[in-house]
Amino acid sequence: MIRFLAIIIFLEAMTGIRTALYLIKDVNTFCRPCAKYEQLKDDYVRILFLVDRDYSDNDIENFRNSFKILPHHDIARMSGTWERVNKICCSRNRRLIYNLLVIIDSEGKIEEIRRF
Amino acid sequence: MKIESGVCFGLLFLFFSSPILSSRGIEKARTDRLNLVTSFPRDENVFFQTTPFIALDNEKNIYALDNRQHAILKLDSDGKFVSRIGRQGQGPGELQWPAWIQVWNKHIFVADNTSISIFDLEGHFQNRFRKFHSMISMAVCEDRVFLAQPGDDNIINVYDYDGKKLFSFGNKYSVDYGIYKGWTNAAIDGYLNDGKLLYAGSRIYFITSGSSPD
Repeated sequence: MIRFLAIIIFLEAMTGIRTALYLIKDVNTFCRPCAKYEQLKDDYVRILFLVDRDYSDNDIENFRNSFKILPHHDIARMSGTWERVNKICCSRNRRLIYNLLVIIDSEGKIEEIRRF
Repeated sequence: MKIESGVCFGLLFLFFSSPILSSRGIEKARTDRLNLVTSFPRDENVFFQTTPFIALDNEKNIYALDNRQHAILKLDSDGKFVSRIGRQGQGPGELQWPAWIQVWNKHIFVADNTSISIFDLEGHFQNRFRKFHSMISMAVCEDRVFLAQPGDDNIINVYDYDGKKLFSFGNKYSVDYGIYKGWTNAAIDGYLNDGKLLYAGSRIYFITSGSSPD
């Protein structure tokens, strides 16, 4: 799993700067989807939010406004590959849907994976 | 005797001219006794796992939202089962702990843990949009969906059916969150700004238990 993750993260993080990827699958009352965002947005980090594939344009706009995501931080829909990553990372507990934060350093190595 | 009758007259005059009774917005409520007309479900195969939230359409069909079954049970006006709408899940047409229902203009609006789902009266899924703050109440009027969300900047957010946010209003109480130790900010907002949205007479009311926010 780690190898699979490492390959696609390497592809995503080729820009040579530290990158933070949020994989957002579930946003509800108990789960705040932007863990560490306040901290990361002040650093020189490329931040990308990948939301569920069936988010409409209005959902994405509301997501940005609700969590005060800065305009230069992209929000995109998850590709099939990222869907698989999320599924693999959450496979231990199939009853719960988690969001993931993956932080990748400037050399493309995984610095941190946080499930929330 | 003259003094006593004068005092009584004065008190009666004050009572009937008081702003409570003369206020235009408040009318004396009828307090008729309620008579049981019917009860439901009348179908043995239908059961509720919790006290359902109820909505009616113009033909007096009953839409009973059962939170624990994550579904709406449609019953006819006699209480007989017609169909089941929705199932547990987070995909389109699926519901996850639904808690608010309203029927408006031949559509059923259901708010659950994550989104607002819209069905037609036959139960066919039409559309949904997500909500990103916890919600305490919902009301639908004309082409707008009103959500009371104390976690957002303003309490009441207004969306169209496609989930486009049109505007918001209603200031929240501004408090020092530090005095509520162990509470999340969302919980404090929900506690202080609790209320219910109600649609009546082409107007939307927000009935709050506390004094009105600034």
